This record gives sequence, C-alpha cells and structure tokens, in this order.
Amino acid sequence: MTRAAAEDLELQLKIDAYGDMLFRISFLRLRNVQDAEDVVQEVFYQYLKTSQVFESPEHEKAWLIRVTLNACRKVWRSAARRPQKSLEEGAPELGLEEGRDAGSGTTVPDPEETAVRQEERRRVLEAVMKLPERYRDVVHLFYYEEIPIKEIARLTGRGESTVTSQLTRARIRLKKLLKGEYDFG
Amino acid sequence: MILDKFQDVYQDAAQAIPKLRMDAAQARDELHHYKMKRRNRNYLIVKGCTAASVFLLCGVGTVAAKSYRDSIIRVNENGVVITAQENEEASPALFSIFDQLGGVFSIAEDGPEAVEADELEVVEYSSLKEFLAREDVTVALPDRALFGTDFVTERVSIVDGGRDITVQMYNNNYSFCMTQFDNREVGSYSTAMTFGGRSGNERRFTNAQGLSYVVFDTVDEKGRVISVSAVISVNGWDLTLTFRGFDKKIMEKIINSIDLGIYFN
Repeated sequence: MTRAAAEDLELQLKIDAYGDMLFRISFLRLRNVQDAEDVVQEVFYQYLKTSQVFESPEHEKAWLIRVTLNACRKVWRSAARRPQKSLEEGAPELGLEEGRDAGSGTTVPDPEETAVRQEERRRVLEAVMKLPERYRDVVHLFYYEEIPIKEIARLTGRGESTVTSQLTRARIRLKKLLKGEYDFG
Repeated sequence: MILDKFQDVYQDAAQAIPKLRMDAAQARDELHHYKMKRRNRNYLIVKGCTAASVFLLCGVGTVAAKSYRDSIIRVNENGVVITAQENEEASPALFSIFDQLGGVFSIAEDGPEAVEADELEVVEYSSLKEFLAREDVTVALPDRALFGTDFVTERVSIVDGGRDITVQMYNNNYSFCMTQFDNREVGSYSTAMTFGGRSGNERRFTNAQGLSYVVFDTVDEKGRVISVSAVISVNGWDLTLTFRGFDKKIMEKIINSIDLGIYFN
C-alpha cells in the first residue's frame, strides 16, 4: 500500500468515526444540509493539515468538535450563507417524511405507530431547531453527545456558568414549546 | 403521570438527521477549501448598540466587520476605526451604515442591499456585581475605587456569549463606558465606533504594562470636550474606554489599573 493510500484509509476511518457526529452538530447550527456538509469537509481538511498531536481519542474528538463549532460560526456570519430551512421544508432530507423510517428508507409495517413516532420526533427536533443557535449547541452536546457542562464550556469557549444558564434557558423554552410533556432531568 | 425523558426522545429524533456523505478524497479537495476561505472572508457584520443609553454615553453606533488584516487604530472626525490591515482603507460602508442601530446585520462587502437580520443573544445586568457573580467571561475592568464617585446607574450588556461586552456606569456628573470586542476568531476585521460630536486631538498613552492606547477627544459644536476616549487592540481584543467629566489624572490612573495581561492568555 502506498503512503497516500494508507493516509486516505486512516482519514476515512476518522470520517467514519466522527463524520456523522460533526455533521449533526453543523446541521443543527446551520439548519442547512449543504452548509453542514461544507463545514465537515473543511474540518477534515483542517484535520489533515494540522500539526496538532492528539494525546488521546477524547482530545482528538474535542479538537474536531471545537473546529466544527468555529467553522459553523464563520459560515453563520457569512453573507453567502444559504437559506435556513424549516423542518417541514427539510423533511425529505431529514428522513422525516411520513411512512419512512429514518435512515433506512424502508416502509415499516405498522403505519399508525410509525406516524406517531415520526410526529414525536418531528416536534422534538423542530423545538430544538427553533432555539437560538447557542442554545441548540448546548442542548445537542448535552443531551445527544452526553458531554458534561464543564467540557461543553471548554469546547465552545464559554464559561461554565454561561453554559449552565444557556441550558437552563433552553429547557424553559423547550418546555414551553413542547407543552411540558417531557422530563428534562 | 410519568413523562418521557426528553433525552431519550431527542436522541431518537436526532437520528433522523441524515448521515454524512463524504469520503477521504473530498476532504483533501483544495478547491473546496479555498472556496470556503473565500466565502468566509466576504462578510461584514454590523452590530447595533442594544441600549438607548449607549447612544448618550458611548457614541452613536458600533460596527465590526471582517475585511482587514493588521490591527491599526485610526481616529477621524466621526470616531475611530480599528482595522486589521494597514494598506486598506476602512470601507465607507462602515460609517454610512451607522444609522442602522438597534439590531445586528450581516451584509455582503459589495453592497448593503443584502442586509439580513441575525439573531444574537443579549444578556443584560443592572450592576457590575451581579454581572461578575453570574458570568465567567474575559473582560478588562478598571479598579472601581479609582473613579472617586458613586455611580447611580450601572449597566452591563453581553452580546453573543461575550463576543461584545459593554459596561456603563454613570451619575449626573460623570460617566464611564467600556466596550470590548472579541475578534480573536475573526482572522481579519474592522471595528468602528462613532461619537455624537467631532472627534480629534489624537495622542498616545502608554500604560504601566507598556501597551499603547490611542486617546482622542470628542468635542461639541463649540469645541468643548464632551468625552475622552482611549482605544487599544490587543491580540484580537478591541477595548474602548470613554470618560465624561473626569480629570486627566483620574483617567490615567483608571487606564493604568486595567490589566491587559488577560488578553495574552
């Protein structure tokens, strides 16, 4: 195997390991699939070019998340930013259209149950995407990636107290949007 | 009634976000990288002041834009512009758009027609004490005891998690306003500030740490000094201090009391 092929293989492993996670973070921030893909592509380009030595997989993951958030911020500020989509407009690309199981593209046997589940997913994702961008980051990193507040503060460059208050405010908004139907504990 | 855990439902819902379609060859695409770089360079952010009192105390408006490289501070009769590149003039659009206060806008470099409202978080406190107790942000604050007066009103505004911080303290005779912009993540930028009078009499003041502020006066139509401002840009942090009513020695002491070492961490 040539050196370039070996590097490609190693990079592909990183893309497979972290790509979807970074894409979700970018998508939630930018609300546009193409922008999110651009960001993740740029992040892996930066990963290739960095001279950073990673002490552990956690360090590497943290670096990738931090670079992704910064790249999102730059795109967010960009005048060339593509229009954000509401969840309804983005439903087909989010795999949320009726009768389709997310990610698989196959029709599931119990349409009623599926429809209820799809609706619940839609409402929850829509509520999160209605939050201001900084709250979206915090909610996603905390509830999906299960990253502790202290680490979120480090990743986002915000103070711990800021992250805590953003999470609190986000929960209040989510409770209102979701009519208090969930336990946020 | 047992409620579903939000975390479980959200984790399920977030699975609906599509998977990334990318391979290693795409990540190596230099052309894409340069397109992204170019795209990120072509923006201009205009930030409006959030509180009406900023108009009175700090000036008419504040603008930050990404267009320049080196950090240069220029005073003109409208106010001050901090740019990040020496060989380019600050865009005239910076000043022409000062009227659009009260919000945050992103516009393209080649014209203000694409003005688009943005949504930034603004947190406000009615006292420095409360601000310091509740926020954990980098901010260069003076020693309050040096002002030698009791302020009746204190206001602190934090925009976008600390990217911009404004501190105002005033009473009938004195006012102090500090604005701090964090432009570290913006490779090149321009920050501009206008004042409600004519600015001039530019001079330098080197603080106890050996860092040099640009100092200038803003005068009214009769030439009377309304306020004195000191501006410094350090490692992507732009700091502006505006004093009204204080004598020179007190202002010097206050400026010297501000530890700019925090901008080197």
